[in-house]
Amino acid sequence: MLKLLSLAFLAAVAASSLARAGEVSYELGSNYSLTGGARTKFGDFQDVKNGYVSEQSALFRFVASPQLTDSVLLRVGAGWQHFAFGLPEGAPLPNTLQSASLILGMDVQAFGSWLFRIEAAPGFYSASNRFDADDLNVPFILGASYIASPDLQWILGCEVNIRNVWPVLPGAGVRWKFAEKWVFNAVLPTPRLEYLMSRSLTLYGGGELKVGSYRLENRFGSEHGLRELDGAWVDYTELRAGCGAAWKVTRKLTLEAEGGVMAYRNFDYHHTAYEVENSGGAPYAQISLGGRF
Amino acid sequence: MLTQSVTGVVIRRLCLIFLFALGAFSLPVAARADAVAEVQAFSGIPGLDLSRLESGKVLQAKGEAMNFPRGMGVQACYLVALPLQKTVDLHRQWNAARYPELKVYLHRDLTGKATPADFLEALATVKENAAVRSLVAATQKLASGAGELQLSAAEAKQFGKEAGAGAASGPFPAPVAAFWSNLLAQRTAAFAAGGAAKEPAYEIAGETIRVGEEFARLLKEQPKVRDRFKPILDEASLASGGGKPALYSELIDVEGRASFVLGATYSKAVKDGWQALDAKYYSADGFLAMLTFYQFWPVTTSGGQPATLVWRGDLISSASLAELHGVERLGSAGAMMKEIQKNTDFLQRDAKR
Repeated sequence: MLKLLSLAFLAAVAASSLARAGEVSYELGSNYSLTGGARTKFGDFQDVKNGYVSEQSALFRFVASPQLTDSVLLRVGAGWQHFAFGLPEGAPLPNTLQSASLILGMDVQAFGSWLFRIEAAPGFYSASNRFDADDLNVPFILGASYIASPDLQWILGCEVNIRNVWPVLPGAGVRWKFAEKWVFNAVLPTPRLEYLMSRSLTLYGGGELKVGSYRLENRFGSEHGLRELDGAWVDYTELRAGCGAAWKVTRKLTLEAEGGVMAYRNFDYHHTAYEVENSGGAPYAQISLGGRF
Repeated sequence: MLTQSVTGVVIRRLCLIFLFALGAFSLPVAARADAVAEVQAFSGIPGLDLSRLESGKVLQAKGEAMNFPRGMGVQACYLVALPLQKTVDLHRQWNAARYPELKVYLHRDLTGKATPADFLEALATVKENAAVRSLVAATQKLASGAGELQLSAAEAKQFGKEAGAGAASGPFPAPVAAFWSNLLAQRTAAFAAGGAAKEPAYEIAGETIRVGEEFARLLKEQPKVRDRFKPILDEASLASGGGKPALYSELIDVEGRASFVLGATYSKAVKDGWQALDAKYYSADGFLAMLTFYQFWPVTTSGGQPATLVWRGDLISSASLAELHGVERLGSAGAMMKEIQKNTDFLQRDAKR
């Protein structure tokens, strides 16, 4: 992990040197969340058929964007995400999902009103506490945003992840400021309805989609009575609904606090017919710190 | 992406006066086949050619990159299917307030001696809407010391002191109408007396904003524009006041809140056409300073009709721009271009009538 961050830092420094003097912007994202136990069905063939699964998750992401030309920004950085699950003993689920990746991409403005983004996240995606070479994956996104007006933007995009059951996942969204204080920000992964309480405080309600593919340990299947899962990839999907507040602490930093319900969680071992889903929701709380400078 | 953008800020109107109207008739009306090439060389707008412009297309690009966090520049080139003089006239007479889509709620031409009574009369014509209500609410908060608007400390303290002196004016309650009519009259008189340097400074996020310095900084960052428009800039002498500007006030929409704007326009015949400058030296919200440059060239279309090639450059300084970085900043330039295109589309539509 440290090596990866060092590499990302060096890459960011190198990329920054390509930029015209002073024209480098930075993006910071981080969050930590706690989710209560959600009732989960593990399947009939397991000794443990039902149980409660709780979760802690954290994310850190840092991206440097040197401006190469008037219309092109490079994106170089690193990201880390970690899920730790509290499981009943013998539950056929990994207790950890984590990724550590580089972020390499580009933003391009074209035809005045269009913004395009390509961004790859080559790195390790593991369903255990350690990384090895077999965990490598390179998911990437392609996105386009059309600025119809200052108050209305359309977004189209897709995520390409060859390890996922859906290798190409298309999506569309819209950001519409339909009244002075209201913004319909229906853009994945965090579609929201926002109320601009003041220039430094925004209240919102909406959802969050967390998805990813992670490689299970080589003996995970054998240890859980389903040998096909040894070294297989599991797709993780989580859907939350909640509300919160975003406070602009300074011009550059925003602190968010939210709470709600983790409504849907799915572990899809798609190389087999086996998947695990929750059968009940669970409360969650999340705190985030983001910055642009 | 694109949240908190400044792009609600747009150019609403160009108001030109014909100080040299007679001189316009003596301008060269011969086709300027090289005008497009001149714009291309000057602006770097990609894909410029007369046939594309003849189809009504507005070609746009960002301005020169600025090393000024609050600053941004965009430029546009378009063709108006009217001879030079009529095109300048169209720009002079064009009133964006006629088009609800452009959200200009009020436009008034002013003299340097405009009184609070003149502004009160204008305010009475404004129709109530959510943006105006929001401005009224922000103004009323001054009584509790809350400062969401761009005002000097001395100006803010004046709120409520004029109460009782007048009546409600349109959707503006009496204290609000009295406050703004006094403030706008004072700022107009100050500009008429001594240019931007006479405008009261105000604080934004702990920084003192002087509009004269904002103008100077924007121009410093755009050497090509500064050089090309040196004749009109010299004449206008924005910092200390000069020339014979046409003054105006507007009430425009800035991201859902109405904002009073004060501006001055200048025009000047140059050897191959006309130049004009619209300097917005005060806005109650949204932006700190804005300069819009126009250059007009007479051209002949492929069908042999006289027309006018227009280059427009907008330079804006805004506190919220300083908070945008990376792709958000790219997006805000795109959004600003979109607004300018919308204005230009209406203007071109009027030219065809």
